[in-house]
Amino acid sequence: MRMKSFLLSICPALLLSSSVLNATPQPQPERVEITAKRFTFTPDQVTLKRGQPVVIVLESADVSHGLQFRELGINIKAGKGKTAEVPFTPTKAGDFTGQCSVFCGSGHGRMKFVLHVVE
Amino acid sequence: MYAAKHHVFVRGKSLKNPLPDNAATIADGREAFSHYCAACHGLDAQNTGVPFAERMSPPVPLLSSKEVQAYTDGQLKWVIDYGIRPSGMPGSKDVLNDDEIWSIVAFLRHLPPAGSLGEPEMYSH
Repeated sequence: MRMKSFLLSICPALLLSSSVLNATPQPQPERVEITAKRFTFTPDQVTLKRGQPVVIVLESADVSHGLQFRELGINIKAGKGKTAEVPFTPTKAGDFTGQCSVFCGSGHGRMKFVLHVVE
Repeated sequence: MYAAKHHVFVRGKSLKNPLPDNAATIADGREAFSHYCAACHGLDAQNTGVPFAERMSPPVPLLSSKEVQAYTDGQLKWVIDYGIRPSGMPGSKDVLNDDEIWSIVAFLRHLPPAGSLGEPEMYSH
């Protein structure tokens, strides 16, 4: 009777530990960190692999900025001195130009970023 | 002067707006317009609340007027890009990006009733 109750008590624990051991840890998506400062993005281009998930992180070093890739449906906006991020998985290869999407002054229209997506 | 501006000086006649003509584009244009153009043209592009609009020489035109609306989309883009020097209209190339300027062109084609967007905040203090 003692043995039976002992086995019953350890079964769930064994099952739990076995499922934990079998679980494959998922790799964290790479973080692509971009700093926006009037009137540039640093870096101003990055290369990603198609199908590989990433997190695009936009940090504003001065006033509010944004980064919009109209073709990809991405628009990240970071308030003054703040950071914003979006998960993104490229589904098609090519070069995509992003632009600042929050008016930030006289050189706003020059702020561009190129996302290269390769196979 | 009208003919000269429309047929000679203002270029870009054949350029087409690459953005879809829909509510989202018009809303983008209204927002971009409010940042950079509203100081002289009002939020509605019809000079509402702009205290000096009538006193400029030449006066700031109503962007809903037949003369302005007669420009093609490409010519409106060109005017926003490069300005019209003698009139006081500055060029906005590099100040606004191409998408924003094209969205402003879309907004200009779908202007709200005069006065419906209120006055620019900068003149209300």
